[in-house]
Amino acid sequence: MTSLTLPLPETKPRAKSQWRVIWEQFQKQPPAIVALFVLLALYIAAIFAPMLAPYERNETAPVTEGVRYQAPTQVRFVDPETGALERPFVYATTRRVDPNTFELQFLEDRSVKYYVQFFAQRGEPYQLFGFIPMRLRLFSVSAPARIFIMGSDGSGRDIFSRIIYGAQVSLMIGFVAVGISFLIGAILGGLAGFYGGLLDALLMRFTEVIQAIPPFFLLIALSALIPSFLEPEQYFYGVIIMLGLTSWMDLAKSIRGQVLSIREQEFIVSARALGIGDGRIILRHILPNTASYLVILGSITIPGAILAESGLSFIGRGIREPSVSWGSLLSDITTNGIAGVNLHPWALMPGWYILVTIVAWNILGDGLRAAFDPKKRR
Amino acid sequence: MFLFIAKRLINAPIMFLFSTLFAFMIIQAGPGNPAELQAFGNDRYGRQEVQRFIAEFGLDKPVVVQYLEWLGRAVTGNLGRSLESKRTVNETIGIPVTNSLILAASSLVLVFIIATFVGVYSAVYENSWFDRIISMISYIFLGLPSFFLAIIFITLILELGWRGWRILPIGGMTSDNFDSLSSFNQLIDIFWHMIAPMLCVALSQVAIYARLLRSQMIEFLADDFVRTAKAKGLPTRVIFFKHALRNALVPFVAGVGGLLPTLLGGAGLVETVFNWPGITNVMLSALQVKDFFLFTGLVSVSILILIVGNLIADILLAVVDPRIRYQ
Repeated sequence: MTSLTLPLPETKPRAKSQWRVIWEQFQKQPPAIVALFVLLALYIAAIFAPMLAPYERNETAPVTEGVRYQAPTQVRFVDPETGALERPFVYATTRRVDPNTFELQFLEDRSVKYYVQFFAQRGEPYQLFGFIPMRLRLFSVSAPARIFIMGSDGSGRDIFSRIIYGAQVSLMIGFVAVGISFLIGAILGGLAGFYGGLLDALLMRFTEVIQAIPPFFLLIALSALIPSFLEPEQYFYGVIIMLGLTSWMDLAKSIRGQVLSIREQEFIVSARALGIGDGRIILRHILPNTASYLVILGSITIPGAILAESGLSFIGRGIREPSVSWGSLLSDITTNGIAGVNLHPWALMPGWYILVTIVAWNILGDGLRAAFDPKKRR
Repeated sequence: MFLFIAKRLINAPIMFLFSTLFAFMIIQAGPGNPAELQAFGNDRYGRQEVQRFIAEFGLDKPVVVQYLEWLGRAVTGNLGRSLESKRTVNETIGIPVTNSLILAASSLVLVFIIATFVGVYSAVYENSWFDRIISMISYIFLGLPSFFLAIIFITLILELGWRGWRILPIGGMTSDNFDSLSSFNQLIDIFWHMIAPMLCVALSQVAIYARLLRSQMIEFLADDFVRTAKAKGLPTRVIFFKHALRNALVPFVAGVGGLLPTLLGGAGLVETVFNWPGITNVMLSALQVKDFFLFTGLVSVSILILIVGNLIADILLAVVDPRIRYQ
């Protein structure tokens, strides 16, 4: 007779923490992972903007003529005459309007090759992260050639550089504005849900009153409150605050609902029985329990704030020159006459960046929602 | 249900009162003052004229008094006079509001038609290639700002125009020869100008509502009563349309009813790109010159539309779904 002994596990498997389970669930969703990396790349690009952008955001080409709406510069690897493989180089170009067909023509001056230089010291000094003085550019060419890898805009400025600088504003705004609306939403929704009664009724009616104004019109009305004497750089903060002030209503309602349901649970009753104060119950017992819910709400609200900023800046009531955002870059199309936009389709480039960012945020949000939802565990 | 509707009907005017008050205060709180803006760059506009201007419109009174005076006139249907043009607000905004409503209402119909079709089809053929492609496309439309979609449309229309395919106009609401057309052709002309902006307004909402309808349909198709229906041997078509779709449409109907105001606001940016003579352009220029009464008039009309839209949505929901019990 054989005795069957099972080896007992040496240690009991440790229970996984909630966040660990969520992280593991999240990793099982390839689209969400891809979206996360896309967003990381965009945010890192925004942080390193002055280094990645070959030009300053408002640097116009010194050549007075010939650089408005220049097509993307062709970076060549092969010498067109000899056919030999070379280091990347560009030719200097000038623009000409064909007198007969009115079509734009870009003439390359093939006599001199301008090699693309990597990590060269060039252009105006800048401060990386706001405090490290540098002049290093990831890639650049020497004048008079220009490297416009996404073409130039209606004033002869490099669209790629402006997009990279615009990313700082467009991407940051999502976070900060949503931070503000979370603050307002958590305070109002939390108070309403926790105390209930008259306070709840008053706060929720107030929320509904503001929601009765169409959001876009509320936003443009509020944008008129930003004092016009502000410097453009300070104006940015005004826009962020206005975006925060117009997007907290849904958050407040959701948080109120969450707090209402948590408030009735036993551990809160027992905390009360222990004589713990309201403030401590809210901060230590209720808020942590809404955390997973808040992460999901955040991932839904951020793309909305980015879209709202782009729209506001597009009609000229948001970010102002010399600051740039993706929305204000697109307004370049309408101010220079939309009837010719098909002649320089590269001016649409900032919009594609908005698209990629919003899609990535939405996919990430869906992934987070699935990871947080116990019913969808795999 | 009647109690619920009665409550809503009482609630609506109170909402209107407070939200217009709020809008009124925001607009007045901004920097700059209309009298000075009138005087700016106008030599004949001296101290005296500024005083007269202020007195004429009662701008020296406290905001709440101004609001009450405005409200007193507004309930009789008189929205005051524009500070800029001195014409009545009613006649200034009549045509723009109508134009915006035409655009928003047609987009609403479009959203309803496309979203129902796409939502049902992708739920019935869940995880098919059609469903996957639609889901990818909806992510893209959700990520496209409406004004950017409008720019893309214009680029495409222009590009096709260059190749000799003049299919759609790139802006405005009427052709140059509009006045000489017969009234039937005038309608056709407006519709022709409306196709592109209508699509731009509708497409992102289609993405939202098709997704909503799809998930609802999938939920109900897995429900017990659908299994019972199958077991009874009912034809598939009846199960889809009479059992599942009727239930799935409930939140959809409620949502679509409240969508009109969203579309009205969302149309704003599309209107500016397509040069559609709607609310937004008037609103932006009113804001520029601090034309309080014109701006308030537009905002309060849009608040009215929003409140009425929500009211209709609530009533529809109560009518469509008798299970919903309101206290």
